[in-house]
Amino acid sequence: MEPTNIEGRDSSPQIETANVWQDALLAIRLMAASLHSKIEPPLGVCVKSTAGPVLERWLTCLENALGSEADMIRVPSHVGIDRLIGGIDLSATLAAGKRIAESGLLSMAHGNALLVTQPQTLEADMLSSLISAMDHQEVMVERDGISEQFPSRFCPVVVHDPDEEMPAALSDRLAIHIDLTHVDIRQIEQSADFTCNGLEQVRQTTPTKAETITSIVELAAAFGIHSLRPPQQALCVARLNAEMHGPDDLVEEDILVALRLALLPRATQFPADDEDALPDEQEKQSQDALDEETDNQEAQENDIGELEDLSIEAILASLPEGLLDTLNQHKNANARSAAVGRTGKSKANFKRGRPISSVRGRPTANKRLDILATLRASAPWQKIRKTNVSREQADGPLIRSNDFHVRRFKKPAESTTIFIVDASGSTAINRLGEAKGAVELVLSESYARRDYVAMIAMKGREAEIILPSTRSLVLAKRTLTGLTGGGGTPLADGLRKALALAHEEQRKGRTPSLVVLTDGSANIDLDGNPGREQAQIDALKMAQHVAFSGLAVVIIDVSKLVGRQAKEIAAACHSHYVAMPFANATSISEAVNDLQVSGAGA
Amino acid sequence: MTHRAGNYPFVAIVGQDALKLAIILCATDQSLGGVLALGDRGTGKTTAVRALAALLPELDTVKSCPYHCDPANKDAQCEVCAGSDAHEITGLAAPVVDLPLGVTEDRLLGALDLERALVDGVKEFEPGLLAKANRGFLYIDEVNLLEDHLVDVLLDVAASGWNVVEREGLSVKHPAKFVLVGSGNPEEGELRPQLLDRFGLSVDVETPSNIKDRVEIIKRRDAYERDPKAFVKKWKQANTKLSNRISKARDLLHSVQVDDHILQLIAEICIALGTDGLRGELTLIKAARAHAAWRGEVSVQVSDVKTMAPHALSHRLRRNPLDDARSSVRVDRVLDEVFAKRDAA
Repeated sequence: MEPTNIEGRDSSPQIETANVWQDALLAIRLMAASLHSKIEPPLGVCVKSTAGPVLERWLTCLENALGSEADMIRVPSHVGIDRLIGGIDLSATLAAGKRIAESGLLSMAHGNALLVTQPQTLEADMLSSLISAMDHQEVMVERDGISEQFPSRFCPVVVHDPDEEMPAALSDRLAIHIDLTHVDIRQIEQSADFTCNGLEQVRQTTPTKAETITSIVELAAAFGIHSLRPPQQALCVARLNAEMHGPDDLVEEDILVALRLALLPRATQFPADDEDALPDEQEKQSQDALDEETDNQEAQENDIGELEDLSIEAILASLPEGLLDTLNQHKNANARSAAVGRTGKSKANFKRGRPISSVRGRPTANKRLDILATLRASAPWQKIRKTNVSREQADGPLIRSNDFHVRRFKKPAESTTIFIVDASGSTAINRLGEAKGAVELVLSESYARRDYVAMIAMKGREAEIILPSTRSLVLAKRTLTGLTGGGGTPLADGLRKALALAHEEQRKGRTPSLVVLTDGSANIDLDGNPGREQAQIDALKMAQHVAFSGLAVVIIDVSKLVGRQAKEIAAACHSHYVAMPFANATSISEAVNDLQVSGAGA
Repeated sequence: MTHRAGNYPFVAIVGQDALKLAIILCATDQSLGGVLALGDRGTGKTTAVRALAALLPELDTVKSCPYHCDPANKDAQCEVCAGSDAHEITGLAAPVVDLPLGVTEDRLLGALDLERALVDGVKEFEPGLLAKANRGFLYIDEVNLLEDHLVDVLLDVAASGWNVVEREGLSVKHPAKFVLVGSGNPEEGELRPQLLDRFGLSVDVETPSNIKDRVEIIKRRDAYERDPKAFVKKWKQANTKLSNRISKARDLLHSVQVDDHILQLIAEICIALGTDGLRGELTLIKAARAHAAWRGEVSVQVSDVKTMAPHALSHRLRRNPLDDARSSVRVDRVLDEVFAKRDAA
């Protein structure tokens, strides 16, 4: 499975740019139409794109389409939870002498479109607030003495970089998925005159035939889409598309649009390559017999489905050719974004961590004043204090220095253990199995310590992050089950990716450490070319980078005969070196524990 | 969030039998300790919990008491209610309170009413969500993402049934007895064992993979979205019927007998599973009793225990990293062993 993935990534698909762009514009029309209609929730759009002129043009089109009635509210990536969901408006409250709530971005977005870029930087609680507003078209504010609900019906537009993870819970709720990565700016027409017409006639009253619902549900199942939201969204898209074109009933063309925009981009399998999927299934068998059963059930149900009027085959046959080529790509993307992209954002060091209750104290550079708590502390004394001062001074609350409260942050003792596993050659299976066991052991033992683990596999021509940093045992098990070994040893690339991942973790406020399981004999260089000599030079070079980064590293030498190569790498990394010809899950996890203890001491 | 009468009706939920049963039993016996629904995205966990409000009976409460104290229960009344005997009694829909993840500690626990303090110089307590949830349900979506310090607060209050606030010169103690209902996706983070233990029943929720069910779900959802009023009306009778059956079960609950051999069986199961503490055992007894009442029986049968054991116990097992099986599978396995042993004896 893995090698084909890599090939799929290298050959960029030759889809007609114009078609993709037309679909992207259609997405805007559908979204604007849903905002005007009564559909709950209105449709959201997930845009995969790097920052650049194509994205800018698309966003301009979007703003044009919204017209004068609606705006596009942007959520800046550094937004705090109080700005997102709202809270107390301190200056207005003090001026008016009564509590005044300040609306957050989510309630400002009511009736508008809400643009979120870099969704991976949203904190868990913010992501969850965003999702909750999308689900209920309402924001519930229970903060800082404010207890209110605001309407919040908006079209979410989420732009994510192809290299970044898209939070799965968010992605699941966005109806339309478009990919602007391969759109060439020179090939798309000017957008200034793009407008949306015909939105008034959208009522979402077109009766839907039972067969239409059935075929959309079957299509979703055939493409391996497990969640029930996508077929529901697809139905909505199809119906909107039908109504935009006139009062006619929903026709096959509308289902095709829904398929292209809502279902295909999320496909995890393709109905035609069931055989290809089989090896995967066999591996899973031992692991999860239950899942297997349901899969079979699904397959059987699919067979029955083909007898329906609108057969899946007919629809597939009418798809443009380029679309299916992109599917392999989506497969990769989906496999990766299946990991939940819940990540922290980078924070200033001295103020890092979760806020906990405030305490009395003087604000300093490291301690921020908690205005609300300070006011609360001063409030009971206002009457007494005001009797002792002149009338002018009595205007507004009187604060004394011993009222001051400062925010406290709980420093997270979070760490991330990044496993870099040599998955090459014939011994891989054994080694890989132990590494998987170690990851699970570390995770299950470390609950109290709140440790994260991540795993990079070195095999074939480049290293791959197979498990993005996670604390979830469930997710880790699921991801690791499908991992197989084979191919060369891209040690240099493995270290490079590990460094990048480690830096990312540091930005999130965690302390990363690296655990490298290898025999040290690299045979793939940084450019992905085979060749022992260059590979070894590159590996040593990367090892020096690792040493320079000051990370805690342990190299676990898994070669049968303890060799000099792994030792050399360890020396270059300034790392611990443990020879473990018979590495097993328990001994690896012990080595990790030792590393963390020494890392914490350093 | 408001729990309007226009919520998706409970009876219209397709499949999800285990989740529905767990919710029904918790509505039958509130002392069971709530439900934790863990599972995939888009499985209707939230829908099911929100539909719960419509199934609950009205409570008798002391009028104008911010904690809606029970006039009949002197031991669980706030200072004001306990201080007087002549209460004006009023009916109140059982509260189902949403706890949003962005909640701050002051709104959860309650705090000094800033407005009253600044304007009138009066030191008054402004009750928080825990006060609102007294005698009702507290629902936390994405419970596994709840901030640690809020979890600590919740655990503290849930254990004692009282919320004690000592801050900003306030000293307030009020009853806060609530049933925790949580939902979440375990892939997005693990739950703390202490919090897990607080939930009476746990249910693994899965997306139905059978096409017929999937089609039915989308059809109903579609009908609801297009005309919620008509949809709710269509299911109203069935919902009322269910609500009546729950009321009957609640009345029956106290006369349900639990024989010694059932208690013995439950103890054997818990020992075989090695669950920590007695909470699992007590919950299983209560769950089996509620299940019997729900079936309209006056004594607990072995089948009641068998049905409820996975839900009452699976989230209390110590995690075994070397055992890949999901914990509900482990409970089933142990149940089989226990029954095989009994049959042999």
